Order: sequence, then structure tokens, then C-alpha cells
Amino acid sequence: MQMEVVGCGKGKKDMSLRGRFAVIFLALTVLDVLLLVSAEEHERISGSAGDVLEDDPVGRLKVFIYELPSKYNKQVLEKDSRCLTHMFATEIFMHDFLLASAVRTLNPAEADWFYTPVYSTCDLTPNGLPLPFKSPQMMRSAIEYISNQWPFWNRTEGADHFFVVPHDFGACFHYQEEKAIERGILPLLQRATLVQTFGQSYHVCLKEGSIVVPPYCPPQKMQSRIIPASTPRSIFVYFRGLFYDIGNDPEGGYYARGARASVWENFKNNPLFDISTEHPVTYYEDMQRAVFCLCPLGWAPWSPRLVEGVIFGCIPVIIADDIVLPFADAIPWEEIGVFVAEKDVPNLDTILTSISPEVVLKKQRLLANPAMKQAMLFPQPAQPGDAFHQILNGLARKLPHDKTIYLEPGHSVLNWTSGPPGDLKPWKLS
Amino acid sequence: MKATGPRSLQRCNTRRTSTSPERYSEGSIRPSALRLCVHAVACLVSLILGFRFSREALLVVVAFRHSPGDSISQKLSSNLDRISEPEIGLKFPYVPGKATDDAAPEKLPLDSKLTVPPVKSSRVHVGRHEILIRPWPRPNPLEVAVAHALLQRVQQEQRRLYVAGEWRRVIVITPTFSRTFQWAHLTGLMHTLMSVPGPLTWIVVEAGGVSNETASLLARSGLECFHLSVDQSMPAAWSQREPMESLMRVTALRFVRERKLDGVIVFADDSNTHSLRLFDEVQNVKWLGAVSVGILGNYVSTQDTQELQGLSEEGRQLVSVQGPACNESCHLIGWHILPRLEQSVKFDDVSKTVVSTKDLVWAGFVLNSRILWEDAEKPDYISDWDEWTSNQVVPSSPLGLVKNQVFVEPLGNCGREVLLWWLRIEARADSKFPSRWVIDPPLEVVVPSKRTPWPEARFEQPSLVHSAESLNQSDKHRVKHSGRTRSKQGARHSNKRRQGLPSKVEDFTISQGQ
Repeated sequence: MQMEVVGCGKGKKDMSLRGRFAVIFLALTVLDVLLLVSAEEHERISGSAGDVLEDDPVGRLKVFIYELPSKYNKQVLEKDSRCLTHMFATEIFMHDFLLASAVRTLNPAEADWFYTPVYSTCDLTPNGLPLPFKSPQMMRSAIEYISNQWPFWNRTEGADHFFVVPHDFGACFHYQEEKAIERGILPLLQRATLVQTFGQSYHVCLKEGSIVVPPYCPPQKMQSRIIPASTPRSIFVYFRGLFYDIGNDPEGGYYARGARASVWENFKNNPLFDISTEHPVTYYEDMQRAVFCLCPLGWAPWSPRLVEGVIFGCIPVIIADDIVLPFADAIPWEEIGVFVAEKDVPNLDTILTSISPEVVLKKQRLLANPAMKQAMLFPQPAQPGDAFHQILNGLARKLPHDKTIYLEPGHSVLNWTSGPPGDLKPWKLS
Repeated sequence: MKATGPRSLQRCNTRRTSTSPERYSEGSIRPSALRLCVHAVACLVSLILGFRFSREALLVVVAFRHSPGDSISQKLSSNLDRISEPEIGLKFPYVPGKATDDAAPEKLPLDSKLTVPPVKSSRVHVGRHEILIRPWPRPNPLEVAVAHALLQRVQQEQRRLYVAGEWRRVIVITPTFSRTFQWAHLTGLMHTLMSVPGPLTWIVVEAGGVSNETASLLARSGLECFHLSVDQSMPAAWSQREPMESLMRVTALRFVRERKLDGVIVFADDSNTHSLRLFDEVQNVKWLGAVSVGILGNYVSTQDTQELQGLSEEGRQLVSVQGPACNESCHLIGWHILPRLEQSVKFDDVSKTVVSTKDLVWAGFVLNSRILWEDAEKPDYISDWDEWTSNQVVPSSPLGLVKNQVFVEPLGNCGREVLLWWLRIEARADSKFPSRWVIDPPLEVVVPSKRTPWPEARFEQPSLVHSAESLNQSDKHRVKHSGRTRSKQGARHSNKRRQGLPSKVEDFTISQGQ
């Protein structure tokens, strides 16, 4: 048994002497430039309001919580406990947070903001979707109560009050867009600040001065499925969800304004796009192996996919015209996500491949910022920098109140009798 | 021009045209005077006729639309944004009326869109929208290449940020020998190794001397490699092949020891399939590690080995895996092995030979190359090289390098991840194949099939009929130069046939008989 050694290749290592010197010289000149480029994992986020994600609201505002009878909150929750886990659970957790928070004050005379804990999305169908038909009545009833019991509502007619309305179309209280537009924002809430998930520019259901928040996603469910960050991201574009809503819009064209159907028809055969309607068990793990995650609109422009994309470091590709994203003044979404107009959906692959790698890496660095991830979540118990604190920061940024909101006693701006006749009926917990 | 009916009564000064100056003022296209004149004339005409006729593009759309006009106006008012858009945005030719079912009547009343407050300058409205599909929705290969480059860059950055520690050079040891599937296996392995994102050394040990084919393949790879050889040729019997392969691997290890190559040694057999994660995982080995090896092609024909066949109680196919077994606290407590593995029965001529593998395959082990060095600092539980190779029997697995098996490190999440697959399929030992699987010069054979519609087949000579039958079997590589003359003959005959009357039925029956 003999051994013959034949060297068969030396790899790509051979370089001439001059070449080596050139490389060293270049490396030295580039080195100081590289030192300036951030070699960190993440970058600071500062939006149009400045670097405000990590502000502490304690000491900057005081919130008074009205004591409503439990039929407005506790009893509603007792009837259906699914309200704690669906994506409209923000209102319940906001109440819990404020009850225990340091910004709460028991003296209403020194309060800057007033909060009314009414769980208006908690009337669920057997499938778990909220019925909007009683919500306006419930809200009216609650406002009648607080205006009778305390003088603060009539003092400003709600201008220093805020309400959490996480419905599909906010305070328009309907899940169908046409009906929601017809109804408009509930007349009694015209002066109050609304904390809602819906946000679309030039839309009736987004009022000036509203605070747009992300939908509720259970933080433990997502954080328990995080895989090691060194797992290579090998999926280019990822999406799981409906493209056609066969039940409500069998012909297509209404659902998502045809955008989701367009994504499917154009890219179902494209190997770069991992899109399908099947929800796999490894949904969260797959998102962490993807570079881009599509967040197209559905029946409403907002979706929990944005939150999931941010938590899992997948760059959100937002396909929803005129959408207003959560905390838009604190988070510069244009630098973090990719916005694609609905009419440009057939060119989506061209658009995404034309983004340069440096831009992609910068977006990933911004997403990796823990402040960014924290701002999208509603953890229990609350942690500094989370979405609860961002809401309070948003409220604090609106202070001090303009003097004109205070009305003369007896002077009334709101019309208590306007609205569809169904809204004017008294509300009873069924 | 089709009549669209009185339902679409809209004046020229509707919301649409009122926003059009806004669109124009966005600065894209200045309307020419001629266009304005046509527009004015169209307005007048529509006033007279009583329905909308304000854009000349309308003519084109209306003329090409086949469906009845009950929903045209509906569609058009949502489409006009896009039809007038070509000046502004769309790169692709926009295909109107695609995908949505045009015959479906519109349920929405026309007014719903007009309830959107006209003051706002948004073009987003509720209602039925067109599903935009570009006419050739296929991936552009250039874009796919760009996307892959982006993924590589992202992964490189991930490695830089999150993978702690330096990438250690991977030394891959592959024993190989000349056989039918060697070229296929080696090409696959070569591409796997070329995709490994880090420095790699490939040591190929060949039985029976260095062969030019293998050398050419290694040169093509561009990797740093060493081509060793062992003079003995690979024996034909399966039972003797394993010791021979072990011998070749030990030869390579001796080479590593003498040259003092530094890195992580992976035993990559040419017939194995490796995941790229394997090469990331083996970076974590300290001295001797074990990975789980999935086993493909484990077909067992006997009845009493139902469980070996890999069927669970429900009849679902299980996959055999050989590798370390761990307890809950991720300590090695044993090995998963298959007591009797049989070779695949498909191509093997000694089909029932049982290869009992009490020991574990080499491919499941990973070494730190310093374990072989003479004068490296090693812990006490590592045996000496001379001890391990001193007795005349070649070691059948590197387990002998550690004095106690407890010190073997299980990799891949303690053996739960299967990172490589052992494909146990080989061709017959006597099968013939062309060198480098290149047939040069290319075959120029016209071989009639048994059932041919071509009439010239019936002029075939009997000798060629026999050769055609033998060609239908496994060996397809014999070049037949007589085929050329035969085709010429066939052409002449076919010309003759074409000049005459159409062929009769019995001509074809003769050809079908062959």
C-alpha cells in the first residue's frame, strides 16, 4: 500500500507581490472608514418627534381613571374570556396597566388626561370576531355616566379625555369599510383623543391627533419561539395568509382592494416568494429565517404581521395605500420598512431586488434595536419602553392642553342626538 | 362604439375630471392643445348623447371589451385612474379586465364611491378593484441572481455579528474509487463544498491510483485539495469494501498528521448528502464529536424485519438515524445504531449480502486535527496515534481515539438535528459507463422504436433489428455509425413514398410488427 500525493489545487490564494501591497494599502485606507461605520448590532431610532422611544412618561403627565360600574368592563370580560387573547385586547391591558401605573392620580383636579375604561370590543361572535353593533351604544352610555357623575366631561366635552378603540376602523365602530365611512366617528368622541389601531390618511375614521398603536400580540407566545440569531436567513419573501376571502368576497377585488390576489397571481410561481395560505406550525420560526415579510392590507389596513415582523427581525413590506403606522411620530417607518403602492404590486419582485444590500442591512439593524421591539409589545407586567409607555409618551407630547378646549359652563359643542337611531338606544349588558 | 346605457350618466365636470388637473399638475405630462380640443369635443358629444364620452382612451377600451356594458362604467371609473396612468407610472402594459369575472353583475350602487369626501386628495376608495396581473408573471433570472446575492450578503453579516469565534478550517476527507456513480457523487460533493462559506481543505483518497477523471474534477472545483491514492484497488465484494475505505481514511489521517494540517476533520463520503449547517455545527467540536447521520435507501425485503423497514404502527415511513443518544440534560448516554443494515437491493448483484455494522460510520464523527498531531497538548483521555493504528487491523471507526466513549461530544443539538444523509445506493459492479460521463463524439443514431409511424422503418435490415433490441437495454453508449447510412436510405425511401399515392393500411401494420 503506497501513498502518492498529488497536489491538485491550491485554491484561490495565489497573488503577486504587487497585488498584495495594493490590497494592504487599500485595506489600511478603508480601515479608518470602516471604524466610522457602525459595527454594532443595532442603530438608534429617532422619528420625527426626536429620539423619544425611550422616554419615561412618569412625571410628565397624570391620568385619572373613572370608576365605572363593572358592567362596562369586568362583567363584559367575565362573559367571554377570549377577549384577553385576541388582537383587540389592548383596551383591557391598557386598563390594567393604568391602574397600577405611577402616572395614575386619584385626584382628578390635578389630572391632565382622563381615561374611561370601557371594553367595547368584547362582544364576540362564536368565531371570536367582535360585533360592533352595540359598541356605539355602550360608549354613549359610558359617556353619559361620566358626564353625570363628574364635571370634567362637560368642562371640555371630552377634549382632555382619551379612549382606547382598537376596532377594525376605530371609533367608526363597524367592520365593513363602507358602513364605517357612512357612520363616521361617533359624534360624542369628536373632541376626545382616540387610541386606535386603525390608521389611514384622509380617512373619515382617523381623526387628527389620534394615537395609532399596534394590535395586541401575546408577547410570551412570540418570545418563546425565538431561534438563535445565527440561523441564516434564507427565505427572500415570506407571507402566510389569505389571498382571496372566499366567504365574503368570492369573486375577488373587494378583499384587500385586490392587492393580496394580485400578489398571489403574480408571484405564486416565483421561487423567491414563499407565500401560501397554509399556516405551518413553524410560522414564527420561518419568519425569523426570512429577509422580507409581506404585510398587505386585508379588510382593514392594519394587521398583527407588522408586529410579528418587527419582533422577528423580518423587514416588513407594507402594501396598503395611505396607511398610518403605529407611533408614526416616534418611529421612522420609512427607514425601517419598505412601502409598496398597491398599483405597484405586479412589480414587487423588481422593487425588492432593487434595494441595495447596505439599505437592507441598515433596516435590519434598526429592527434589531431592542427599543423598537419593545415598543410594539404589550407585556404583562409592563416594562419600560413598551407600547403602554409609548401611548403615554404620545399623550404627554400633546400637553399642555390648549386653553381653548375649556368651554364656558352650559356651552355645548357636541350634539348628543346625532347619529343613526340605533345608536341612541340605551345600552344594557345582555 | 357601444352604448353603455343611461345608468352611467355622468357629466364631464365630475369628480374624476376635477381631479385630473391635479394629476397633471403633479408635473408628469403637460396636456397638448390638440388633446384639450379633443377633450372639449368629447365633452360636447357626451352632453348630447347623454353618457360619458370624455376620454379618447375610452374608445379603445370600449371597442375591445367583449362583455355587455352593464358594468363597464363601474369598471371604467375605477380603471380610469390606471388607464390614464401610463404616462406616469406603469412599466408593464396594463391589461384591463383580467382575472375578475366580468360577467358578474355589480351589486354596489354607483353612489357609494361618491360618498367618500371629495375634499381629500386620496385616490384610495372602497369598492371593487382590479386585480393587477402583469402579462408575463415569471421570475426574471437576473433578479433572482440579485436576490441570492442579497441573501448571501445578509448571511455573511449574520455570521459576522452573531457567530462567536473564528471559523476554523474544515478538512474534508473523502475516500473514493472508480465506479459508475463516482462522477455523480463527487460532483454533488464538490458543489456542496464549494458552497461552504469559509476556508476548506479537501483530501480525496482514491483506490487504485490517481485517476485523471478525478483529478480533472478536483481541478475544476477551485478548492484547496490534496489527491492521495492507495495502490490497492477496491475489492468487488461489499464486505471487503468497508475495511478498504477505513484504510483509505486512515491514510488520509496519517497525511494530516505528517503535514500538521490544522482544522476540523469531517469525513464526507462521496455518496453522502451534507447540509451546509453541518459545517457551521462542526466548528464547535473540541476534540472528538459525533453527529447524527440519516440513512436513506434502507430497504429490507425480509418479512421478520418489519421494524427495520422503518414502518411504525400506523404504517408511516420512519427514517433511520444513526448517531449519539442523549438524555434530557444533553449528556451522551449511548448510541442509536441499526444492528443489521442491508444494502439496497435495486442494483446490487449480490443483493442479499448482509453488511453487519456493529460500529458506527466514519461519517458520523468529527475530529479536531490536533488530536492526531504528535506534539500537541491533548487531554488525557485521547489515545496516542501509534496505539490506535498499531495493531494490524485497521480501525473501523475513530471511537478508538478516545479512551472512554463518555468523552465524545454530541453535536447538532445533542444529536437531535440530522445534518447529513447516507445514501446507500450503488450501481452494479460490472456496469459500463463512459469516461467522465461525456460521450464524444456525440451519438448520431436514428433508432426506430418498436411502434413507429414512419414508413421507412419497414425497410430495416434484420441485423439492425437485433441491435435495436439490445440498445433498449441498459448499455446505451455504443456508437453506431451504420445508423448514418440507414437514415439516408430511409430518406430516399420516404421521398419515393411521398411521390406516390397515400400509403395503405398494410404498410403501417408491417412497421408496427417490428
